[in-house]
Amino acid sequence: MALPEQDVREIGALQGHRVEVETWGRIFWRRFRRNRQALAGCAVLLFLIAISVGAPWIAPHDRDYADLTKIELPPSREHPLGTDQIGRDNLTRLLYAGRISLLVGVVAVAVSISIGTLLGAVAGYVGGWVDNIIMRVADIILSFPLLVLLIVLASIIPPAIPSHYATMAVIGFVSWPGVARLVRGEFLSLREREFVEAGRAMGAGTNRMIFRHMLPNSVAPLIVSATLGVAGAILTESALSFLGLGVQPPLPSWGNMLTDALTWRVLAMKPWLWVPPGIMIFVAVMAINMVGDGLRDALDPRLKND
Amino acid sequence: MATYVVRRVLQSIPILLGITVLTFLLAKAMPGDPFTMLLNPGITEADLERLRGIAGLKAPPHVQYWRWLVSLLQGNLGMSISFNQPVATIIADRLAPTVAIGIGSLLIGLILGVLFGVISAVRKYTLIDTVFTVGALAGISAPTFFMGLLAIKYLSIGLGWFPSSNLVTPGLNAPFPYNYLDVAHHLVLPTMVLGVASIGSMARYVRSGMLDVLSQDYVRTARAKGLSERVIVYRHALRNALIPVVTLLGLSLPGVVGGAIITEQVFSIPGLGRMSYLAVLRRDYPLIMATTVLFAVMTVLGNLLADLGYAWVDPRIRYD
Repeated sequence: MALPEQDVREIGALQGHRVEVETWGRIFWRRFRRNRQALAGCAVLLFLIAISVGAPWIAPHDRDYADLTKIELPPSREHPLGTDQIGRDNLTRLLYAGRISLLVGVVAVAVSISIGTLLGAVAGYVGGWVDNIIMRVADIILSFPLLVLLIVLASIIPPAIPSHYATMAVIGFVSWPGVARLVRGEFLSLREREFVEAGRAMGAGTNRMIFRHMLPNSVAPLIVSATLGVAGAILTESALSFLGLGVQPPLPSWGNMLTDALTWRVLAMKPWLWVPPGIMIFVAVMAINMVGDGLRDALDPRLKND
Repeated sequence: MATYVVRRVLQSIPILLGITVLTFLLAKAMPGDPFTMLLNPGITEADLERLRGIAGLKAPPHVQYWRWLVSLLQGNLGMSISFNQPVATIIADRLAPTVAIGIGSLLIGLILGVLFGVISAVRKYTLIDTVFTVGALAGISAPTFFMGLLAIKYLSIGLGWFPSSNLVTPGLNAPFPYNYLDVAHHLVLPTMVLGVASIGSMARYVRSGMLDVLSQDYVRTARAKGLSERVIVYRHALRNALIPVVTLLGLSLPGVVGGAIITEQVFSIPGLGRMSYLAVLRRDYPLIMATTVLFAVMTVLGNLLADLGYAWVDPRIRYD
């Protein structure tokens, strides 16, 4: 185990050396920077975020403007990715879809990380019957067929709620048990450490112990889990929307842009309608996974010495 | 060991009960019921009420749940409302294609995943390792429905190598071995598509397991003894690297029967995945309940098998 920075300095000083200590952030950056895959993933991801955020300015046409005289046109100079079934510009919709798909992924993970961290922390710190109940509920959710659960939940949410909010909530709500298990495991091992004992001996309350002392020590695995979680959430959103149960048109998402490929005519004859959104999902998920892997390699304490 | 198994099974009973209660509540919370979903414009409200009475949907919810639970314990899964057939029959009819695809893709994943993972680990940080690692990541990053659609477009419609959907060629009345070959021919694409994701996750697992094992002392000892690299990798290291794979296999069990909803939907395969999707859309309560129970039992069983398998391949671990 690495010694705290201050100890290293003091020991060094006692022996008459001036000790240069690398901060945690520096160590992280030094390792992350060496990982070419992670950097490539970062670059692609930043590009995707840029074109999604900038969609209103760079999109060539209006998102929902349907020109019924120009239905299912193949790619041309005016419509680089052609037009869809009701004559909307496909490239424009692809750019706007990125906003929705990326946003749903990030917010869904924010939901699952919040619920999972809170419940996992309480379960791990308090223990006993509280722990038992929380983790049994997690077991129950994990034993459901995921997609069936998502479909059921998606149909329960009232249609008055915008479909992309509903999708975020539903994905976030079914994904917390994994996070809770992770945080609980971290807390169980942290609970035995001296600094926790010291904190408690000094009279710190449960809230303070959990949020000020223990959670900051579990941040590294949470960051990794959140990053990989966004990739998973984007995949889940695309699958749900593809089935017609996630984000609803006219709001475009990468997933619902593929729904029409279920008809033979579009699948066989109009590939410009469904291949681009499919590639976008793949590229986005791959880039985020690369970043997540890079973060894990850079943050994982087991790899400290390489 | 026997007591361990008994204890685990007993522990799983409250979880299974919890799942049935939650499924029941969620299913009832969905708007509509099986009869409103029939969408028959000629039907009157009085008819609907009568049908609900026949199906026992007018009883209070807790009574309905209790009736369902009692008949389940008597081994009766009930009647499907939308298919108008016993639930058990419907599931039995759809089990084979789903299990075939599930096991097939798992085998593809196991064989190719282990192979790629081992090669990656042995040749770590070389070009081939990079290719396999990036390939494995691509495998788990690609949406299955997109891969399925691409496969249909290019391998089925384009090249004509495989049928694009369904389980049998319509109008084909082939004698014995050929009808089975026809079904197998239909199952190739969905199995391959699911297999790709499986290869990806397996290869990543095996690679990191192998890297762990290859840096252990006993591998260094084996090298010092002058054993050939082949013996070291395949006889000494691989065996230990595969231990976590046993867990992964156990955890994949529910997926095999849970059915790949999306894949079956894309390829129009009449399997359990597509059935469970239809069950939800049609609010077919008995069928929804049966699907979730089946999946949950497989999850519990898979977890148990994973733990037992782990103890079996790794004698250092004991359960008592």
